[in-house]
Amino acid sequence: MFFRLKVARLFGLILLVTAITAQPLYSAWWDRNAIPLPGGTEEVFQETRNISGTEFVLKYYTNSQDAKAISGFFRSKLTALDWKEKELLKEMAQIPGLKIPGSVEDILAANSIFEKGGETIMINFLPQGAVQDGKTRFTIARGNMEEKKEPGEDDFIPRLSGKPKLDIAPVYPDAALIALSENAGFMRATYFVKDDIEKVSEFYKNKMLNYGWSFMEEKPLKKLSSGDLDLSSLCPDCPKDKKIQQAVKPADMAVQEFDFSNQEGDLCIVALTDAGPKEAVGDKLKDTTTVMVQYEKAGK
Amino acid sequence: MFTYFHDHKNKYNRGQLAPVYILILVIVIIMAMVTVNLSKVAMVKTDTANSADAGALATGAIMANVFNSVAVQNSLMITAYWSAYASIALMFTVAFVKLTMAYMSASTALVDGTVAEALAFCLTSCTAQIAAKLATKLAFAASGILDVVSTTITAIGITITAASIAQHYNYLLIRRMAVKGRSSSIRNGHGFVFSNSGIGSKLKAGSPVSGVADPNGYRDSYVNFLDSIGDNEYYIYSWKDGQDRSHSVDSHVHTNDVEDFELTVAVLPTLAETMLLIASSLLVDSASVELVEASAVYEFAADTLAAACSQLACCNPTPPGAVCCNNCAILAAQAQLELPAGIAGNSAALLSMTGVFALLVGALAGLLPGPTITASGEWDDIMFFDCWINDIKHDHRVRVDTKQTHQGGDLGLWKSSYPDTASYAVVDFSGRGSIYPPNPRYGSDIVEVDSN
Repeated sequence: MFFRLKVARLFGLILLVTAITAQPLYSAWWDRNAIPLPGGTEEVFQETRNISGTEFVLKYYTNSQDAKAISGFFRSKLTALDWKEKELLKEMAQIPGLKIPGSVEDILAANSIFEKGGETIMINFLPQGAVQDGKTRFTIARGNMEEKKEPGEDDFIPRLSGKPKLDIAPVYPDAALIALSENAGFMRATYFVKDDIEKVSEFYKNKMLNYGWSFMEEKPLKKLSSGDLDLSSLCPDCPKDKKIQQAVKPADMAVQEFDFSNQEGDLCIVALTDAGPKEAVGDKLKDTTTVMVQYEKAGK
Repeated sequence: MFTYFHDHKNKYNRGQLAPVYILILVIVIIMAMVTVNLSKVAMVKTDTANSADAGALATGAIMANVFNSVAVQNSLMITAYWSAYASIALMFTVAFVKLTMAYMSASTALVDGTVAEALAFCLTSCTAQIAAKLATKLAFAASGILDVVSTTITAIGITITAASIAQHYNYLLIRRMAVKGRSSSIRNGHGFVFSNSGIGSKLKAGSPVSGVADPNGYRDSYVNFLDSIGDNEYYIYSWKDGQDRSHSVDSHVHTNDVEDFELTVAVLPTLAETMLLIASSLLVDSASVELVEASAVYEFAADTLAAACSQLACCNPTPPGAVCCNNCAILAAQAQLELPAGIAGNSAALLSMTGVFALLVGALAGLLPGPTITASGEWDDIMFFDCWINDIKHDHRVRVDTKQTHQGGDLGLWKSSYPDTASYAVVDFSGRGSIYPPNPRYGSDIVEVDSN
């Protein structure tokens, strides 16, 4: 009996010690793992996106301090937390024959990359003054680029995690969500689909009716072509190498729009675009379509 | 009559003032009628001025709301551009990081390949073999990294196309809202003009009897007319009263259309971005193939050098050893012939990668806010990547002109007539608002009225 009481006391003591020590240990780990933010920072929204097989969490912030001050804050704080800064601009400057225009140099100089234990933090700033409301806009992306060992077949799709809150339209089979915007009475979701524009348009023309939508109007297919644009006008700082000149080819794009309405007077627009640079990536983008579904509640 | 009274004034020595009274009475009656007439004209004039002011203020207030809504929606469009730019810039950063890694790896491979070639002699074949093996690994690794770059470039292309289309629809959403809002402001402006013109009080209640022509004004007909008002600039309501007199009220509401949108677009059109990405992707694929080929050549040369190195172990002047020396020299010479192909492929890949860097830098710079274009239609911007709406070409003014015409009555002796009364009011709804930077503080004020 006495022995059992002692064991029980010992067990209770262990529990107490664990509870006292684990909390600060967890907090310390959390503090070291969390990204510190400068005062006055407001998070606008966040999303999780697949970029070349790595899942990045992107957080969008605003702050009234200028980009230089914010950048300086991250340099000092993250370095103190054992993050190592990657000097991308300096590395790029070592590449012979590469001219970086001032505008891009400014972007790359303001942006920072930090690495620690396979994890990467990238801090991107929207160029100062691009939006004239006196606020600095920056994004922090965090992901582990070393976790991904084997390349996947669909790594090229910039897939977003999650799905729209509103189930207002059918989703094409195996479509990947790549952009999402939702406000009160408004939703816009963009999907990437591995099928040609004709099949996708048939799908939406038929399946939308099952969701209570009535077909209103089909806007004729708009075919756009870049024509033969000259490389020197597109990229004045590009090397005048014959190989590069030959690589520049005209690009085409086609856009098709279907408008639907329902009994409540809501509007739903489905815009289809064939995904573009087919020649560039062989079969990757052959017969692919981006689908934009836009929902507007009546009176909004 | 006066001569008669004058000639017989002795008979009428009383009541001589009667003619004067009659005269005064006539004058008073005329003056009273003129006064009534004038006050009626003044009342109509007041109604006309009130209706012009009310119509202009109503139109101006709605237009201010429209512009405020555009400013609010524009800030959402800016956020959408920013988030698209941020995620695309992030992808570019991934591409640059990987491309830099590939470039460093490929350039070290080139150094090792060149060292291997320089040491591709029998005596140094073992060292050369190590260098060639390193070059093999590095070139192959660079090729693998380039596959990730290629994947990232494709992702950039997809994202730019999707974001460009989304921004086009953001513009369309705002444009359609503004056009609809302007129509609504004109419709409401007319409504306020007619409602404040005093028509209502001049009409009979109810509707005309079914099947009978409607010569006289009925309130129900007027309400139907109000319901039928659209967004035309000019409307007139006319009716006849119980005495068959014609009346009409004109309303002219003018505010400039909202057709011309000034859009800030990215430096490069969307398809130009696509062209740069296509070119960079082709060059990445080409560099990847060149590096795989270079790696194969380096590996082949490394094997040859390894064989030379093994022959070096038994190389000595005595006869069996002399064969080893001979073999070693031949194999080293063979490796020396093989390595330049690998070095050439490796160099070509580096050149391609420099091109990729330049093209990607150009594509990233092309996404920054650039020129301002004027879009007068819904699809005028489709070639471009819209950043935000800079402004809508509009003078922020509303002018309302009203006119009332009322036919006078024929009283036999007296025929009244009323002049047409007209009035106008100009409202400015600029307030302190702006579409860019978004500041929803548009507000309406009357800035000019007719002084008649």
